[in-house]
Amino acid sequence: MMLTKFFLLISIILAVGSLYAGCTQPNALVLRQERQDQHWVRNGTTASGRYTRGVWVANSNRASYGSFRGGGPGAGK
Amino acid sequence: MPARWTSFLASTLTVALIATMPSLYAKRTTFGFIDWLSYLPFFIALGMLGAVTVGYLISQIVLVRNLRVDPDTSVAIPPLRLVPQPIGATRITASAELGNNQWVAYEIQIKDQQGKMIASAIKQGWKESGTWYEDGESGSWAETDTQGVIDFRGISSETIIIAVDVLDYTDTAGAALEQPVPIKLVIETGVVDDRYLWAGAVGTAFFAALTLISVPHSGKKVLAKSIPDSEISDRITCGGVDQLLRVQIKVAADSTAPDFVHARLIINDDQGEKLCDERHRINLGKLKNDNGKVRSANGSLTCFFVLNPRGSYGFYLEITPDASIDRTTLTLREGSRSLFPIPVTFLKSTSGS
Repeated sequence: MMLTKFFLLISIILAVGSLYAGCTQPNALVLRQERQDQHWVRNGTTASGRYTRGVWVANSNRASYGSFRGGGPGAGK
Repeated sequence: MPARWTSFLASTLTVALIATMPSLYAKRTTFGFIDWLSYLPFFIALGMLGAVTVGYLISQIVLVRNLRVDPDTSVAIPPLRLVPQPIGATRITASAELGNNQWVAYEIQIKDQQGKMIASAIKQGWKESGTWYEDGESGSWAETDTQGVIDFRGISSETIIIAVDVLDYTDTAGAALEQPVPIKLVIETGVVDDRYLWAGAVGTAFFAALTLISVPHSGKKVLAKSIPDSEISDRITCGGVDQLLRVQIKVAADSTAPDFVHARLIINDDQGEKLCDERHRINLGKLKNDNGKVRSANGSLTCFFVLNPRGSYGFYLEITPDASIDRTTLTLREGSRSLFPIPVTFLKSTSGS
């Protein structure tokens, strides 16, 4: 009985916590905010800049595309 | 009909015998010991799966636009007015349509009404296929990863411009391609993070399973005796009107094991009066070697009792035939619960009072 109640409590905490996090999207990119520690990248789509004094500054390596190589099973063999 | 008469006589005698015993013996199936709470985590997990489904359905598509973006150029879609949503974030999904063995790097750009960049993200997409050879075998493979997704929030009823810039578009050899890349943009609002919902669904399902598994192990272990023999006897203090006693008998037999054995369970009260003398059949599951010979056999049986009043009770267990029995285990759990309606033997000792 005790164990059941304990597991039930954990289940409720898990359900409420994941629903809350899912709906509030804490890991989305926050516009006009310097700190983006929480940003959790989707589908490998990484932010290519950051906010410095409220201005979006592109990463310096952004322009150096041309050396990019795709992945896949054939890569690196 | 002598056989019929004998069985009638036997059952009448049994009833008469039970009636004259200094105890009350009743066996009935009851819902009374079901741990209803243990089903709740299962429904919570089911609810989380529902939440995952609802999560995919509640987002609203604001705009779908097919673009053709030339390399090293930025193509914008018409300004979009966004209002803050009570839940979720705004999502831009870009799907590049690539030819075989092509690579692309594109940037999703979010600009304000004046065209000033307020966020951008890069996706490196590719589509490749080929043939593999290994240990004389061969086959073909094809892989593709061309979809870029960015979730953002912090919008304050404003007009934004979304653009896509193709930074690099090449073939497998690294040679630049000059044709435009077809990219499909989908903009949605009220998007919930399904990663959390999936994590919640998996987590609650795990605890739901754990809860259901834990119920047969519930209660206080008042006796756990395992001996390399076929007989166990012990005396313990247990019982009480609402205390379900879960009796678990486990039998391990050697290679000469029969298909089934019988377990005889006798319960005596504090005066040594026999309250119950039951004989149960235990089917043995056989473990076989690779060559089909029986190596060992196992069997188990669970039965339930309520002993009233609380006091000292003696338990005697005997497995017959005993020739092949290697080990006998008797486990008693007091205050146990069940998942289903169970047949319970109610015993009342009257000799003490």
